[in-house]
Amino acid sequence: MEKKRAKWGLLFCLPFIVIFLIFQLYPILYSFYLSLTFQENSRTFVFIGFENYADLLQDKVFWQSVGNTWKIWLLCFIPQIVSGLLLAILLTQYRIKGAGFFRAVFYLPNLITAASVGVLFLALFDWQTGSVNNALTDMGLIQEKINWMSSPAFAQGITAFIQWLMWFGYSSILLTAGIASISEDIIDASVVDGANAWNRLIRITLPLLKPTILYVLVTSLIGGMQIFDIPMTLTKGTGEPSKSLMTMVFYLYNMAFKNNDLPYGATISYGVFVIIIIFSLIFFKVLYGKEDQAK
Amino acid sequence: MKKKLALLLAGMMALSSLTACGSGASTGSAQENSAQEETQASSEETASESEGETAAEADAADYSGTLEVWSWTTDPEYQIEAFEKAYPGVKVNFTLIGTDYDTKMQTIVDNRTEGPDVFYADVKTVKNYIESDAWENLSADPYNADTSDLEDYTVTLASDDEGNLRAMTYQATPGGFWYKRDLAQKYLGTDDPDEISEMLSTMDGVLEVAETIKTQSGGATHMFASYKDIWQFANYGMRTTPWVQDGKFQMDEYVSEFFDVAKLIRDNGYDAKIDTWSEAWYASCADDSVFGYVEPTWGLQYVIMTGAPESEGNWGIASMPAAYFNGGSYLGIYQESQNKDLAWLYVNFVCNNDEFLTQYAQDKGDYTGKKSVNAAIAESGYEESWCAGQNTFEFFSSQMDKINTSLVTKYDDTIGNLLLNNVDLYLNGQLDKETAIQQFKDDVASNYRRLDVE
Repeated sequence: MEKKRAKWGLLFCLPFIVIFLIFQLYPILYSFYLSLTFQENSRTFVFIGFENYADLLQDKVFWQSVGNTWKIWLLCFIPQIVSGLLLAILLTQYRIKGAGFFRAVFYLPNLITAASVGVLFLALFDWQTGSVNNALTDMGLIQEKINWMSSPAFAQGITAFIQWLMWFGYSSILLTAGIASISEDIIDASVVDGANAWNRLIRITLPLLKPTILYVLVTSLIGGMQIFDIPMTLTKGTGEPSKSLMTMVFYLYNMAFKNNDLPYGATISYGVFVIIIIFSLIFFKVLYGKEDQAK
Repeated sequence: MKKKLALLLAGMMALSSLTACGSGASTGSAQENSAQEETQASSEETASESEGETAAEADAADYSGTLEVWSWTTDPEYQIEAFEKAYPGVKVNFTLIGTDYDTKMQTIVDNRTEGPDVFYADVKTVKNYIESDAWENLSADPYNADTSDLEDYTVTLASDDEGNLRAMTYQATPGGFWYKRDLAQKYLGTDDPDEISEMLSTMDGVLEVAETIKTQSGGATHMFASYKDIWQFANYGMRTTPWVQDGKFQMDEYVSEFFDVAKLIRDNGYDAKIDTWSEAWYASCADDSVFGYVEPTWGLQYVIMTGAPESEGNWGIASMPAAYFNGGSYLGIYQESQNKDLAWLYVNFVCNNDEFLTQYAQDKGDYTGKKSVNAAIAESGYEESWCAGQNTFEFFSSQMDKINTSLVTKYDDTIGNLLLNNVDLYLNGQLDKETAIQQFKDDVASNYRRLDVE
């Protein structure tokens, strides 16, 4: 009986396993092999060991791209989790009319493809003809049109803003689900014990929401480390000004596909992989570490 | 309530994943459709006119089979229509790959995967494909391409290091300065192309004209959309050494000068600070903010006609301090093709058939890749209605001999863009000139790890 069930289990998993092996595991391993090679010409790859990785560690642009990616992610994630939490609490703990409607509206920006949002913002903040500059000059707020996208800080800020706009609704929905799953009994008990709203939030909701927050954090980290489409469309593929929008994956793309340096592209992708793994582990430890000690 | 919410969410997620996958494909096919209608209209004309040749058609009927052609623009559709008319037995399947064409094509070529019989490449990537050994050697048997009548620079560009022809083109793409005649008349006192060419024959002359336009128009009209227009002709016209020689990066002396010229243009308000290929750039064709554009042959069709469809007759083309070429589609026979004789038939028809190219030039106004065809059209007193009857073929012919291809390498596009990025930083005041030039070098080094950059 047991064996029979195992057979069925395997059978049902098979489609996933086959697809995983062909489209994920094989490319993952092949990329690793590529990263150990040197591309002599378009079809000859020579094995050179870890030389590409040595190059990567000394590559200033790569480290700059790591810094950029983190900066953009933090600029987006902190507002995102704060606004997401706030909305989730407002929409669950208070009986707001049309809460479902608002949830849907907040989620809407997530439905638009990132590339089109990028193009839209590029048009809004165009130097000579952008709507923002035109509005500001018409209102008399500025004399000279501002070259928005020439400022590295602004470019990173606007990218973070777009990311926030697109993802805060998504995280707020996850957090809503997390809050909704907290047992009423605990809340009732705390009310009996005399906890006010603030105490309930700090001592009950937030601690019990930890798994959800961790989930949002890790998925956002993984997504944020791979940010590509918005910088790509905002800068038309250059990553300028001053490479401030050159993110890790963007750099990977440029090296591998624009400059036809596949081995180095593969090396960068492993660099990105290591960075994501390390920080995912750190976040796990930070959020769950204390509990483990308590046990 | 919760169930409804869950359903709504599930629906949205499903939708979002659908839109993500769907967007690329749908835009591609929409373009294809509209382009097909366009080419159908024009090819009907070709058909009626080419019915006369009966002798050739007897041979033509012997050919039969199917040919796979890939490109990233809709240009081939017109050519395929004409080819299928000429060789009724041959069916051509055309695949339009819009986004990331070269990334996809390069991968196919590198892996020697089955693919098209013939594929197109932009002039920027021709050298890459030649280096990847993607195309058949057209100088060898059984092709033995006749290059004597092809525009010389296109042959040089599409040949490998040993001088073997690997691809051919149906268009040569010399350029000039397309200007608005009404503005020229108003601010320069003449709209005659020869007189304006004379004024623009040196860099100092160009700046002088820019100053005149600025003062005469009270700053409302700018000579250029962007200082980058200068780079269009300076890239191959003013530099004197190739960017890369024997695996070594060469800093050209002109680079420093270009920084100064760009600064001068920006500081004096000679350019409208509009980015090339932006919406605003197209729009500027239709108003008075920009006097003219440094664009090659196809600039008329793809930039001016698109941006200012109402401006027929208001344009002229003048020469610049240096002759240049920009763009152009090249096509070659993929080495893995199983259908090479038909592929050759197609390539040779599109790029080397006088009758077809003459018709093509008349229908599209494009300057062809064949000397005799261009010369015949120029001599016949061609009148470009968009340029108030100016003989643009004569103008382009006059530019051909001056085009310099000795500087062309496969690095030019990328390195040129890296240079412009750093000039931008200099003009925005973020870097001084020395630092910007140093950073340009660093950028080249980090983009091409194997280049020796001092």
